[in-house]
Formats: sequence, structure tokens, C-alpha cells
Amino acid sequence: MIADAVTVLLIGAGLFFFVAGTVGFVRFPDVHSRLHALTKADNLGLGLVVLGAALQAPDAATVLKLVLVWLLTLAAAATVAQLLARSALEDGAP
Amino acid sequence: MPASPLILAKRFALFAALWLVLTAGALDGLPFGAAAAAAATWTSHRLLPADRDRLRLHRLPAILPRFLWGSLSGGLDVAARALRPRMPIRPGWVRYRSALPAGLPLVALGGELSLMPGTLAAGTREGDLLLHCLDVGADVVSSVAVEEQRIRGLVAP
Amino acid sequence: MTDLLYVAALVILANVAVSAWRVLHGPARADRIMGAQLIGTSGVALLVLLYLIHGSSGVLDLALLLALLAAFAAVGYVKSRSADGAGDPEVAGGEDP
Repeated sequence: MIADAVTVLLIGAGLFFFVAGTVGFVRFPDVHSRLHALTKADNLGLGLVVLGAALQAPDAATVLKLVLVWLLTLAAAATVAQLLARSALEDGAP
Repeated sequence: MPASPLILAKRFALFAALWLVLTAGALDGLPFGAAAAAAATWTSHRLLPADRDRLRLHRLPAILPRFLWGSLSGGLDVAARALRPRMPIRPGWVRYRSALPAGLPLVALGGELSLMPGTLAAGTREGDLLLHCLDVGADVVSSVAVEEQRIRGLVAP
Repeated sequence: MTDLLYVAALVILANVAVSAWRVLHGPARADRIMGAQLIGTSGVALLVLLYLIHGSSGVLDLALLLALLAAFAAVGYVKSRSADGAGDPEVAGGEDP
């Protein structure tokens, strides 16, 4: 019961970051600022959703798999952000 | 430099552990898992030669809490800037001369900085790390120096 | 809780719609691939929510696969932008920002 409430709270917080990140992705004036929004807010949102789901997991194996989903997206976000930032710079974005 | 058997063994153990997580520890898949982990180890050696320790990943848990906190405040910072009607951002570039060796350590620093509040790494130019900042008025350099010290603990001498 | 999870999934779907708008309108090429990245992240979140609704852990394997594909798509894009199609965007050189 308490786990359910915490899950709903975590997923709610995750959605907040998803929406905020997407608002930044639409509003920010240049490519690199938009990449900030994408990398930080949306991946934090996903992390909170995953954490909320982990509280409902029936066994340790599922928790580990959820952690793997989160680690993979985090590592991918940190790497892809650097690559895209550089690539946009070489394309002549200010 | 030839491949170090110890580092190859470490990588194999890591890939085997990944297999176990993916299959929820199912025993009947183990022969396939061993073959997949061996193939993954060979591929990783082709992409990043296993000749020396580059990062001390066992130190990672020590910096994890600070990293998670940084990631949370990074998300909060960018969310607050995006949602405020006035949108208080002053984007711009900062060059940072890092003392970390080029290659993986610098990429690790860039990756971490990209998840921290206000900074986004875009590789290096003439040895300087190029950082895009959401607010160039903030004291970016000193907060980057703090993160650099943290990554330094991960770099093998 | 299932109703709330469906509402959450709808919010994530709205994010996918906005990302698709960026993919269509750019303006920079990097904006389009960033929109695709966001569709990937949103898709992973959507699959995690579906896992909670249906309780089938096979959905999590799909989430892992989607996360992997989104990352490789971005790496492929960046490599395709360099002159020889193999590279490291850093080697290309360029103007100071």
C-alpha cells in the first residue's frame, strides 16, 4: 500500500521532468540549449519512472533488469549528448 | 602492448553478469551466455584494447551518491529554466583546460558534466574541453574543477 | 493504480507527439535526431509503464532493446556526418565557437 503510494509519487515526479524537458526542448532558442533539456530533464524523468516501477517488482531479477534499463539510458545519454553537441558545433551551430 | 589476461577476464565476468541479469539466472541458457560473453569480450578488445587499466570502476560506488544528486539538481535546474515564463537562460561557450589525460578519462568527465546542472561537453579543441553553458554568468569553471577532482579518483595512474 | 498508470502513459505519448514535431520541423539536422532520441527515451518510459500495467517482464526486454537502438541511431547519425563516414566529429576541425 505504501509502496503503491511511493510508486505513484515517483512516476508523477518522473512525468514532471519529462514534461519540463520537452517544454525546454520546444522553447530553448538554440540547438545546444535544447540538448541540455533533453539530456538532463528527460533522462531524470525516466530514472524516476524506473525507480517507481522497481518498487513494484516481484523479484530481484526484475529489479536488476530495471536498473539495467536505467543505467543503459543514462550512459547512452551522457555519451550521445557529447557526440551530438560536437556534431552540431561542426555543422556550424553557434 | 599485448592484451592483459586479467583485464580480459574482468570484462568477461562483466559480460557474463549482464547475461545472468538478462536471463534472470536461467541455468539452461548458460552455454549460450558463455559464448555470447566470449564474443562480447573479443569485440570489446577490438574496440578498446585491453592492454591497461584505464578507469577504476570499483571506485564508482563511492562517487555514485554525489553523481545522483548532481543529476537530480541538473534536471531541476533545466526544468525550472524551461518552465519559467521569462526563461532565464544565457547560453554560451566556456573553454576549460583539464589536467586529465585525453581519451577515456576526459570523455568520462564530459559525460558527467553533461548530466550536471548547466554544462554540456562538446569534445576538445587544442586540448581544452569545450563546454556549452545554459548560463554563462554562473561560476562554471570552479564547479567543473570539483567534478574533475571526482573523476580523477577514477583514473588509473 | 492502473487508471493512473494509463494517464501517465498518455502524458508520455503527448511527449512523443511533441518530439515528432521537432523531427519534422528541425530546424537544425541535430534537432531532428534529438527529437528521435526523445521518442526513444519516451518509448522506454512507456514500455516500463506497460510492464507495470500488465506485469509481463518480457516488456522490459523490449525497453532495453529500444534504449540500445536509440543510442546506436544517434551514433550512426553522428558518424554519417563526418567526411569519411567513420569518424569522430572531433577530427573534422572547424571554427571556434
